[in-house]
This record gives sequence, C-alpha cells and structure tokens, in this order.
Amino acid sequence: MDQCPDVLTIQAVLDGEEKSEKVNRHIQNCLSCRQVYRDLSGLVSAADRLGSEAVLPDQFYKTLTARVAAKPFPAGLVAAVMFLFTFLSAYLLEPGYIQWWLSVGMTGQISYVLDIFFDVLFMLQTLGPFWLIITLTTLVVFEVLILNKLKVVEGLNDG
Amino acid sequence: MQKMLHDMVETYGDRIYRLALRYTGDCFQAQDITQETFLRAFQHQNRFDRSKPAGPWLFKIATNLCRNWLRDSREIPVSYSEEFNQSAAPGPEEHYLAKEREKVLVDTLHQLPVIYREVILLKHVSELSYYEICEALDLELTLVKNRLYRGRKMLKEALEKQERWI
Ligand SMILES: [Zn+2]
Repeated sequence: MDQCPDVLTIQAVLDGEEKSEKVNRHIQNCLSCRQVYRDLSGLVSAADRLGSEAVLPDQFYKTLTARVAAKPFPAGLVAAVMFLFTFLSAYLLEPGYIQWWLSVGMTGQISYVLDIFFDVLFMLQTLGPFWLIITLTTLVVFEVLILNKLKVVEGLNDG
Repeated sequence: MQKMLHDMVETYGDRIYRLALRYTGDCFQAQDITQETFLRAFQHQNRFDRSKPAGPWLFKIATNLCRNWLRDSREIPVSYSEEFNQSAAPGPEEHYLAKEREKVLVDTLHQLPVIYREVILLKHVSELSYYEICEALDLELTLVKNRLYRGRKMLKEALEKQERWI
C-alpha cells in the first residue's frame, strides 16, 4: 500500500486541481483518506454557501465606457489660465487693482482666496465648455464688483 | 481597445462584482469597486501581458481596491445587503429564514482574518483556480492551499457555533 497523501493534496483532489491518477485512485481505495475527503467536502459545501447569483446592473457597461472615454481634466492648465485671466482682467480694468491683489497676499488672506479658487476648480471638473465659460465670466464680474467696492473703501485711486 | 474592455467585462464583470459585494456587503460600494477595477485596468493596459489571461490581473486590482475600502471603513461594520437574495423569491417565512441564514453567513465570514477571507472569497465567490488565486494575491501555491484549508475550517466551525443560536 502506498503512502497516504496529506490533507492539502486531498483538498486539491476535491477542488479538481489534482491531476495525479495515482493519488485519485488511492483516495478511492483507502478508508482513512475517504474519511478525510468526506470531512473536507463538509467544509467545502459550507463555504459554497457564499456563492452568489448577483449580476451587475444593466447600465454598468455604459457608465464604464463613458468614464473611459472622458479625457482626464487638465486641472493644472485650467488653474493657470484662470489665474492669468483674473489677474489680467484686473490689470486691464485698473492697474491699481494689482496693488490690492498683492496686499491681499501680504495680509494673509491669500489662503482664503485660494480656498475659494480651488473649490471653484473642483466644481469645474464636472462642467462642460459652456458652463466653464459662464463660470469664468461670473468670476470676473464678481471680481470687478469686489474691486470697485474696495476702490471706494480704500480710495485706491488717490494712493 | 473597446473590444478588449467589453470582453473583460463580459467574462469577469459579474464575478468581480460578487467578490466586492461579499467583501463590502454593499451593492453600491461593490459597483464602484467594479467600475474602478475596469477603469484602472484600461488605464494601465500597457502594464499587462496580453499573452496571459486577464483574470488574475483584474482580480488583483479588485482585491487591492477592496483592501483600500476595508482600510477606509474600519469603524463601519459590514451589514447584510438585500442584493444577495435577489434571485431567490420564496414565501415570507422562508424568505425571512433565508435572510437570517444569509446574514449569519456574511457576519461569520467577516469574523475571519482577512488573509483567509480573501482566499475563500476568490475560490468560492469568484470561482478562481488555485493558479489564478496565486497570481491575484502574489502567493505561493502551498500558501494558497494552506489558507484555503484553514479558512474553510474556521468558517465551518464559526458557522456551526453561530447557527446553534438560531
Ligand atoms: Zn490513504
């Protein structure tokens, strides 16, 4: 009589992963190996209860292809353009605004401005070109309004 | 390229979804993980050796995403999801019992250490072969066999202990 295979080999037979004819035949003919095989079958059928019939929802592939087709958002580039856009528009409207721009930086409010800036940037990721332009325009109008207000308050033109 | 993606989803989509579903217990979370798996596979397709089947590689990505989910959601206990039973539609009482048993099963699974849980899920939920599990988890064959054996044993014992109470 040949030697009994270890439990992991018998498990492999049960899982259909052991191709050795000799091992398969041994298990059929050996009483103690058959007992091990039966015990293992109990373990396997308990774990088999985890098997699931769940299927992906119908729109899964459609959503996936849409996401695959979407170009990565050039956040860095858009950030640079927006920065230049607001800076230049401020300068062209009134060169004195730049002073305010810089003074904001000096007084430490720059982080607040940047926070808003990145919030807007984050929001823009989901926008199409049309809404992107609308948002940029709104941003500039808003900027001009704030700057005009400040001009009155700080008397920027006098300084 | 789209063809490759389509074939991959066709062949492995549901099996990855089931893995994620059992791993997270949440069908929305599971759909997210499955989407992300294919998205990453598509983005990194140059890293993939096309002469080999895509399965193990996809399951490797999916398992990593599941691990990330687990790491980020330590405090939230995994709960039973309605989704599991969608195929069976027995009477109210049977339905209740089946749900109870299902809940016990999933809870028990989540008591196992994650190294055993993963091997069990890949084998019994995603139906991978030993070789595919080795590739997906970067493990030696002996280790896979060993974890499978010990995991099954722990699961059965824990289940018996649990089910004595219902
Ligand atoms: Zn024997």
